[in-house]
Amino acid sequence: MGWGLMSPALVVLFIMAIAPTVYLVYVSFRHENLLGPGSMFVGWQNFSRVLSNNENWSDALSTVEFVVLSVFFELGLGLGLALLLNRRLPESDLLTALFILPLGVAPVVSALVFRVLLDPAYGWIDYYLQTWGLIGDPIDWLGNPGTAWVAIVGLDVWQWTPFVTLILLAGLSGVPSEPKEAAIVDGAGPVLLFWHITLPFLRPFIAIAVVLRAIEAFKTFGSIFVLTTGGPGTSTEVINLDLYRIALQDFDIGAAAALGIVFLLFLSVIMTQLLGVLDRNTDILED
Amino acid sequence: MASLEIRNVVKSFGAVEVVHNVSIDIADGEFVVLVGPSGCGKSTLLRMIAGLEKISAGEIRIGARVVNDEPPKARDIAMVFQNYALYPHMTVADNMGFGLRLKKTPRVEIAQRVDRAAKILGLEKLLGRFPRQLSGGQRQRVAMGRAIVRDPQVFLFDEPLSNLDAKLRVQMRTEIKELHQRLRTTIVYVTHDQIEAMTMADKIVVLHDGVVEQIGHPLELYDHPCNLFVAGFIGSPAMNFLNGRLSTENGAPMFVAENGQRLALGRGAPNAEGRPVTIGVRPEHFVIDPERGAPAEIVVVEPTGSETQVFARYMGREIVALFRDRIGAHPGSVIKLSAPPERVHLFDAESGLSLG
Amino acid sequence: MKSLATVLARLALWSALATTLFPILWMLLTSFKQPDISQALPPVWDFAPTWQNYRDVLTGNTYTSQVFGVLIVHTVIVTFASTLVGLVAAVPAAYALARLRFSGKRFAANWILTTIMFPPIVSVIPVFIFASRLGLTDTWPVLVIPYAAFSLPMMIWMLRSSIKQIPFEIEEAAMIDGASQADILRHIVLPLLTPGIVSASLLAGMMAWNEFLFALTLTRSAVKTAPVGISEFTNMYGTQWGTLSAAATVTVAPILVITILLRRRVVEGLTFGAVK
Repeated sequence: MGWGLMSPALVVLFIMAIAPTVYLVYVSFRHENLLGPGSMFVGWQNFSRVLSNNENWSDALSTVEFVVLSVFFELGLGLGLALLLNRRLPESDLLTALFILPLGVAPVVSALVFRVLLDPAYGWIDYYLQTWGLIGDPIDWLGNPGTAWVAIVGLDVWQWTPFVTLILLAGLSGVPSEPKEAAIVDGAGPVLLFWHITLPFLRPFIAIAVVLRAIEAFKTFGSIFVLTTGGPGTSTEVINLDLYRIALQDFDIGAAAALGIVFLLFLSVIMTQLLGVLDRNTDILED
Repeated sequence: MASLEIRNVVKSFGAVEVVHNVSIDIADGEFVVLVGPSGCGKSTLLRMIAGLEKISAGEIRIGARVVNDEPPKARDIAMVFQNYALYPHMTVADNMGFGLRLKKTPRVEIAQRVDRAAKILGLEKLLGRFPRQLSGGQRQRVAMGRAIVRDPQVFLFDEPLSNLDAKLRVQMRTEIKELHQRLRTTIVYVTHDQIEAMTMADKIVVLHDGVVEQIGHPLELYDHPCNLFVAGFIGSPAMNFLNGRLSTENGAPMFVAENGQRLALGRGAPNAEGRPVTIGVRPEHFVIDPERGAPAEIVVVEPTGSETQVFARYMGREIVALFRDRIGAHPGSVIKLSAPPERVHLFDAESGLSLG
Repeated sequence: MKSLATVLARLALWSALATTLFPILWMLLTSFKQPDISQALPPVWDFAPTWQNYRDVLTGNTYTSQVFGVLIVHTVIVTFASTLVGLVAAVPAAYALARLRFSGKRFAANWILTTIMFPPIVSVIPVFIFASRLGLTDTWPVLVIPYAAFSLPMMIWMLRSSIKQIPFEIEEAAMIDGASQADILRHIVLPLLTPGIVSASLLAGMMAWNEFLFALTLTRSAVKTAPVGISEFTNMYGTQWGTLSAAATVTVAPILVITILLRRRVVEGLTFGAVK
């Protein structure tokens, strides 16, 4: 009866997870010509091409960099915001409601808006930075690898910090007051209070926020695609964009499949680690 | 209205057997209380009667029907849960009428039966409220109302008063007893509180570690406990136990305590010189006996107005004595205590079983 | 000292809020500007608003290939359909995982969870190939099924935890009251699950509404959605800020309104049930 109830979900997931993987594995060992004849088995060729291509490795590095930087800043800012909002100022509820808004904006839209705002000629950001005397010449944000990175990480942080804030805020509101009060009576200052009382209670929530954000960050496509398209050059190209280019612009399906399989393997290792983090710090996974 | 037969019932969870070969006969209209400490299997037994747990071995009959394989809804029973288990999204009236609604009973009849039950339990004004708006006692009454409306063959109660405060508990005890006298439905009631058992039951079943220790009328368990466990479980404050051996003095059976002091025993005591025994004396049965009593050094005196509870050192052990009258003694002083021989319970020191 | 801390906290919070809302406000403002001032520097803050941009966007007077208003309609259809499909699959699965005992349950639960790791780019390639071969590109199912699959794991997980919050005793009481399993689901579980279902639906709906990659790859015109339409404005951004921001606002507004009105449910959905 249990399997019966689960069947619709399992069917859908099968179609979207298992079948594509099987197909990818099949195609990764072939040269696939979509438009005409010429498809054939090529053994490990795709894999060796993909793994020896330095560009793929630098994209892999970019991907990891992107995830680490984004999650890091989102965690820091999210924690700060959560602590501030937790002070129960009269406007806290209103502020929280407004802080959530970026989560509802389609990533494509926010990427587009950022792109326009960062334009060196007409964008408001460079204009105000100059007017306030913070910079001399307008920064070509998307034209330089360094600032382009600031842009994509900044966009992700803008979009997803509220997510972390919400989770940590929920955690903070659940911190029992008694241990806190006992510590204050014992003479603890705010830093000690935070480190020894608040933080341990927050651990499961931090774990949830980090794991969920990390998983989603690895899947990021739309925002980077619209903001920089992986540029300038391929400096901000993450694996997802790389795969898109190889598969749907170069139509080198075999190589895309091989790279996709390698990426999937990498992600499953990461996923196991992340699930381990969740299991150790929370009880979400328990039956 | 039906009788209930529990025959050689066993319950195992995996490899662990928690109910060992329990047999209980419950007559039609009887109020039977399953009592015992936590983990003794009483709730498991109740849930097996309800059909919420599968029976590993043995049979349960409701009326003359074997119900082992029947789902709860086919057994014509109603249950009152410890945490009330009311439907949070339904009003009191809907909660009580839910069972009938499922049977497609006409709405008029549902309303009638709900009103009748509400009147019995004093819930008329609360019919439109939701469970979250009710106090604990009110919720408990709604749970009972839900059971009454169904007019089942057997009522099952699973520690219904445990979540109520002391005063409310006493009040509800009486109400449940009155309800039973009025409806005369068979009731199986589970509790860990022996006072509830003593005050409400027609018949008490004492359970311990999945085994039936004794079944009987409350006073029978009080007067003639069949083993140490039942003796110590029934009665509050609990019976005092002293270890020693049997002896005789001038042909009369005697108990000799570890410290040598003696207590006369009733005529039914066996004639076995030197046999190790445990005697039990209820706190309320001690009498002050200046001539033949053994000395008791008073440690604490607790007067409650109507009674005086005295903690003392007696025959080498700490005992509790309960007196109706005010005792002039104070901590440190010594009084002489003995007990009427027929009130001294005798148990085999090893097996714990009653001896005569 | 306490009030100084409060002042600083307030300062930090309001500055953070300004930064957070700035892009959204820009979008809103610019959408009401005439073409001649929409790109002006210094930015014009005081101006006579106009609905022209919105009219252009909704009736097709832009450089994009399709009337944007139509794309919004497509987005609405895809969102509702995929959310419905997702719910139909997720609710029974969640109940099974929450209440029933069956062999392989742990394995199934863990496997479902691991599917969220799947980057859409990896599944879009085979789906694109299959859809092309079968002539299914630019049709409703080719978006609805994948979207349902994307949010399924999280929906199942959220609903499972919501169901677990319903004390099982209540279901037992219903059993004793004479309810069959179907009765229990209909009269007890589903009503009590309603907030959870709303949250899960909001999660799925928002994800479907905002999705880009699959829509970009698998649709041409018949089913094209708003996010893809928005990305087409990038070619014209130099001269089309007004219509761009109007289109962006139209795309974003429904979600933002729901986020504000159904705040608690949205939060529960977006945080996958971690925050209730």
